[in-house]
Amino acid sequence: MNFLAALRNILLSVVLSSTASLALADTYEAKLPDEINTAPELCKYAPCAEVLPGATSFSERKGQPRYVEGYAGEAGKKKLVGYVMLSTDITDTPAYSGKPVITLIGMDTGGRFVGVKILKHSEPILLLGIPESALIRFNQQYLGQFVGNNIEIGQSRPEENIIGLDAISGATVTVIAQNQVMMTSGTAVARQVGILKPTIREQAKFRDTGAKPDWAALVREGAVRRLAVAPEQVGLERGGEPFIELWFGYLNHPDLGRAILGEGAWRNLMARLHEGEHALFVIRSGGKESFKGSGFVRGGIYDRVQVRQGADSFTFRDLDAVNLYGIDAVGAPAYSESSIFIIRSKAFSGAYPWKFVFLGNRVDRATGARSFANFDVEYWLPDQYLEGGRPEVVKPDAPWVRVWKTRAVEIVLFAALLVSVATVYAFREKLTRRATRKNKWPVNAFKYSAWVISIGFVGFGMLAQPSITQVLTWFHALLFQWKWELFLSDPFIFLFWIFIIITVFVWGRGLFCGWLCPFGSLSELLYKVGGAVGLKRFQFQLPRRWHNRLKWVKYGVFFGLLAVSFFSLGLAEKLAEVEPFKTTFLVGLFNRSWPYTLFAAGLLGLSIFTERPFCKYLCPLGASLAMPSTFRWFGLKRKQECDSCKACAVGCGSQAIDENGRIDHRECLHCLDCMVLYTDDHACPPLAQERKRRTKAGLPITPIGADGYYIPIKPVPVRADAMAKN
Amino acid sequence: MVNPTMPTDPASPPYAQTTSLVRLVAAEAWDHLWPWSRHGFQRQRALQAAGMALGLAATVVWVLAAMGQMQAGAVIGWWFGWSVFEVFVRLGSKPYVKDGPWWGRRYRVANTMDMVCYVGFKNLLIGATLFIALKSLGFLVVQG
Amino acid sequence: MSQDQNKDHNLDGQPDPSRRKFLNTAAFAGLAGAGLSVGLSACKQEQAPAPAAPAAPAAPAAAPAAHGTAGIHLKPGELDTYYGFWSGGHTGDFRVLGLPSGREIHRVPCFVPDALTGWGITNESKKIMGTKPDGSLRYTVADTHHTHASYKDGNYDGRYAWINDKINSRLARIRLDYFICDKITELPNVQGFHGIFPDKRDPVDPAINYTTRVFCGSEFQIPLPNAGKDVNDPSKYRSMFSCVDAETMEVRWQVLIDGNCDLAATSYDGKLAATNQYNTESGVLYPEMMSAERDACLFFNVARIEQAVKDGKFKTYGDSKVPVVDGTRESNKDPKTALTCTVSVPKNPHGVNASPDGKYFICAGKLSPTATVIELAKVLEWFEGNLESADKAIVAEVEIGLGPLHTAFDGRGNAYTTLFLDSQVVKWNVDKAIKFSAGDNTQQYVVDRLDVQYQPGHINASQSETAAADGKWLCVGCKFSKDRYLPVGPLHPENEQLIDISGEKMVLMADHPVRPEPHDFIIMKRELINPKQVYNIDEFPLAIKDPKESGVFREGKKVTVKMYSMAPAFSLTEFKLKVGDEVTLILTNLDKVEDLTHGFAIPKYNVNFIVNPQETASVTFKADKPGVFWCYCTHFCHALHLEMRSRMIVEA
Repeated sequence: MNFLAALRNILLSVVLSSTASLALADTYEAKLPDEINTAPELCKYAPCAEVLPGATSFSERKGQPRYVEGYAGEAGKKKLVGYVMLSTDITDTPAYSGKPVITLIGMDTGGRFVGVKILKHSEPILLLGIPESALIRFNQQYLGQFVGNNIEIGQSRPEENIIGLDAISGATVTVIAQNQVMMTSGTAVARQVGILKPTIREQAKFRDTGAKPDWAALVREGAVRRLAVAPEQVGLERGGEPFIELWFGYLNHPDLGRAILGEGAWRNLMARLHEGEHALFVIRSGGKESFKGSGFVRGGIYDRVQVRQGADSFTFRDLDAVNLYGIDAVGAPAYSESSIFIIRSKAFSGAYPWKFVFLGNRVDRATGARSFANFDVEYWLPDQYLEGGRPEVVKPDAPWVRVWKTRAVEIVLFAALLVSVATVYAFREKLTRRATRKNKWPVNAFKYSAWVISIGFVGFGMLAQPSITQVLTWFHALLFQWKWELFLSDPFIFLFWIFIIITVFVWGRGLFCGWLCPFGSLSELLYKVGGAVGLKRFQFQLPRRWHNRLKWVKYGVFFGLLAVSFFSLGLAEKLAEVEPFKTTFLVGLFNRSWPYTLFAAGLLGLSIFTERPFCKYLCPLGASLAMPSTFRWFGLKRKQECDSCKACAVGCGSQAIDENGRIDHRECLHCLDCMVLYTDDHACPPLAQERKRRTKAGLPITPIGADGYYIPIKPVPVRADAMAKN
Repeated sequence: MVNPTMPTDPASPPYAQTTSLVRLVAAEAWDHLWPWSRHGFQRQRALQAAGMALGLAATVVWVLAAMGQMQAGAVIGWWFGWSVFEVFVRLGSKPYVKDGPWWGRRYRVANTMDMVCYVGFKNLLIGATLFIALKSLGFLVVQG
Repeated sequence: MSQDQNKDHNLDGQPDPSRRKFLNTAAFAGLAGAGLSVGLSACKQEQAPAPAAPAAPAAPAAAPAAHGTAGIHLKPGELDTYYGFWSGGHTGDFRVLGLPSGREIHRVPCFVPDALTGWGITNESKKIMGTKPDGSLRYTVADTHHTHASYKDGNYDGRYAWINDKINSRLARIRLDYFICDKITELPNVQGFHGIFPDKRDPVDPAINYTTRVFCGSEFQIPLPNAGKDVNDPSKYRSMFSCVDAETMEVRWQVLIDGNCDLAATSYDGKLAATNQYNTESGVLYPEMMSAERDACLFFNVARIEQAVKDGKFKTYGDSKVPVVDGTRESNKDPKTALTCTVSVPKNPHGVNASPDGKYFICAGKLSPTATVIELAKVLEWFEGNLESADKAIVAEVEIGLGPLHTAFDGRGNAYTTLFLDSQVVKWNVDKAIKFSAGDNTQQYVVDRLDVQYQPGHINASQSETAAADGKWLCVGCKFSKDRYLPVGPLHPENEQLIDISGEKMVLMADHPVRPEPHDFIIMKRELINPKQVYNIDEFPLAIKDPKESGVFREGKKVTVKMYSMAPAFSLTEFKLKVGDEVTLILTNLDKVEDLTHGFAIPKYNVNFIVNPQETASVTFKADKPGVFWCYCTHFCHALHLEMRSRMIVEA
């Protein structure tokens, strides 16, 4: 891998230096010191002072999740001015790249954000084009905002107490993830330090049946649950033995407490608890790792276990741990470490679900770098143990669900567009039969409508321009972390890709490329408009010879990007700027630096004079879709005469029909011109010939069959045969 | 005289005429997984020798990967390299692809690009399946 | 398995006659050497051995091995299953052992100063211990013998333990949440305060099902008041049985009795307390004390005594305000009004123990090879006037071996009695002994005998003194260790031996040396104790809770230094005094982390004490030496422990 890494670095440096004149992101895949993730003195490695103005000194990492305190003033007269947190200490929410945007966040003692600094991101969208400053500007919207506010991407909705933030066009997923990171991090720390009051949950009313289930029954009911971590989950060698295997359960419930601890010990324990205090037990039945660790020895904090309920997290001090002297339930596994932990908070309720979290470290075997890895298991007292059963729990919608809900109208319209285009295409023959070479409007009316809608609504409106970067992102996500939520948070792209995948299999890539790709539509529309406004005489096609050579370029671009992506996805994403989509739709022609604008404008300008130059020769997305199009199920129709007739080939805008009359389905963009000819008895030479023959011979003109010929007139021989037989 | 209704001339793999659906599916599956044929083997001796070596190496890589000894990047690199090689082998041994619906029986002669598309597409599916399987079984641990 | 045990199994519980002979001879020689020529009443060498245990089961060695695997050697990190509370003897402390490992976990200073904790140095501890008018400690020696813990519903409730000081007749209470001594009471009118026992419930109020009284017996008789009068007239010497309130630690009342008190026991119904008496003769020299063939077990009717106190039928002696009721035989002849009941027990009995079923008290004969079983129901019958003679309450008096002292129980009907002279523990069945005494000679009441090393005194089994006796472990406090440990000169440790009693046969599991010299102990399940991990800062009136309160405050010559500690620093890095200042230094440990204790030592001023997390302690001293004195943390606390200092600057 060293060789590959070296190669990657060389490639990177070559490309970086060659593009140095472009506005380059400086935190993209920035190299951060390993210590930043683990060292107690976070601020030795991170620019804490930049996000917490006024602070001159900082504490070590503390709390769970971790944060640092910032102080003003000299030793002895230090005054707490706020808190600094590293986003990855708190949440591993991935952004569009599948990796987190590592953010340093400052919050004052009043719970207001006072500084946000991106330390490292892997967002390709922010590499080029959308300047990193856009994300910085986005983050600045948080400054002064109270962490307890409802902050969402989009419009402010005062009636719902929602404060809206302006998104970055074209980087919706990134900012949705970033908002989640900001709010999760801020609230986690604000709750710990008491700025945000914990949610008060209604306490459980236990149903005391006097039952005394054994261990197996407790496990079956979910009253005792297991948390196991395999060695490979923390970057160790695979092994038969778990890294750690824990069992835990809630003890306040009389049936469960008695069953687990035994009557006497349970009463004793309950006598120790004050109102609003909760006990749970933990035993380790496997593995060598300790769940207690040594943090409680040094600082009195158990830093390897935690309980989370909703947004509240509960950690344990040494004073919250009580010896577990034994498990009374028959059938309990042997264990080598045990404890009873006490949650001392009214915010916790046994009636609602909670999670027991084992806070581990993952060691990267290659680099030895450590990162936090948390493992949790949900626990919810079974129905039968609660008076009235489990309460209803309203979980807030996931961000992607909110996106789908808020944009429901557009989503429905978009889906309708996709379905109707597919339907129109499925019934294309009804249209092509109506159309003639002279009058293609029965087809073109639909096609041009699709273009216009896709340029205006899909492209400029919804910014739903599919891109090769998405293909590369899938590769990345497949390799690292595939999160449906992530892809779902851009519903238009998500739907678009479902449409693309299905139609590529059924008909080939032409339907997307020729009918719905916003840039392709724009490109061809310009060509058509150009022709219509009298530029027809300047319009040209590349000679077939050159076309046949240049059409391979796009495959080269695609394979080039793919190959580069194996070494550096980031670099590949940068090189994917060969697509002018971002410039055209996502950012806007006039919002980018001139080289991009020039490139996109040049391609569009060229489109006026030759049909779809980018699509034919450069588009890596088209290339990637063209390859599976080889195996589309249903192709376009041909007649035997096509092998010598050039009528269609001459009129084929995408130059997809070769000298033998064969259609190259990788190149075909489903303009359907040849299909119009196929049934046009005035334009298709074999048909015209037959029409003339029949007209001359006074034979009736029968309808054109599915094979593209007149239905033959052969009634007589059949009858003669029948008579002969008789 | 060419047949313009098909992108290339029709081809007829040995199993094309079989009436048994099971045998057809088995033969096609075998075709997808095994690029060599006796006919091609005799034609491309040098390529076969290289192929044996490459195949062996690829096997080793997969075994290593299965044992968790291999980086994902290297695995993908091998997959990529192997795919290129497979294109050449197939062009000699099994130079045909299916045309039209996958459940149909129309085969046609494959030109180089057809073969690249076929091998690339097929191996992408196989590779992704294997990769996901290995990852979900915990044999591959990928670090970003 | 040691040879001793093998021999024991071979002997099948029967005393080895030759060895017995030797021991007896040796014992006699010892006694004779002390210038004595007194026959032990029933201790004739010719006497047939006590009824032997039934024939051994087929595989005696295998069975104990099976139940002996419970494991007394804990793996690292494993916790003991029982707490053992040990008296420390004339080290004057209270000790906590983990059982079955036998590891000493803690010592609680109570009556005597302790250099580690600063007990006897801090103002707080001095206040509990008692001071002379000049502020110095009233006593610095003590002899602790018996420790017992508070009850609820017949089992330990983990609130308190009590321990006696025989030398200065003091009773100390140990809080079992912090394991500290919080109160010490000096008993008036008595000397040689020996046996103690908490009551198990109130005799009258059924709602009070827990300990509210602690009974204390005094061994030595003295003139009343002991202020120089009657010093030469031993016939005027008297002993008293005292009752101390478990909460207030005030002496509630005392009973004037004939003879003396030795150990004490209480009934499970709360109605009776008892003490065995080895000196009913009220002798001054031991030959006189041994003169009577039978001494006694003296029962106290708690309800009647308290009624008498309420009715004003009491006297007080000297300065003491404690009401004293008359419990002498002469004044308590009518059972229906008697406060006390005397049941005779052979010759100088030692130990009185209540069986876990609540039915019997068992007195061991000491100079008689017998155990006497007294049925409590019958004692109560006597108090009702329904039993013609108090001795009719004796339901068994059986021979068990030489020098029986103390008895423990396994909750399965068996008693385990130490035989001091035989160096044995005898396991015998109480019911069978009763039947045997009733005339059924076929009853083999001795179940097993086990040699112990050597000459056992107290004995106790896990939960033995509760209704929840579980018959798992038996501890024997052997008074002599002789050859059992590496020699360390003439002074030997005591030998505490652990015996597995979960099976039919006793299995000796371990020897543990203990610093002389524990007497008695109790063993309770770990679940019954709920210690707190750190102190509650609010329990200390002087606590410095706010860092702002730290500093040096002067009022003329009186200086108060207020400090707090937080690892790894004291709040004052230096403090200045002047020669002649009368200094009170208050230190609060603000660390709220388990096991983060700080120490504070002042060189040349003979000050050292510790403050546990959230604890506050203070010392008062006179700044009589000018100079710089580096006060430092003596209790390891932090990586920067060595740097944790404060300069005390005393300016001339």
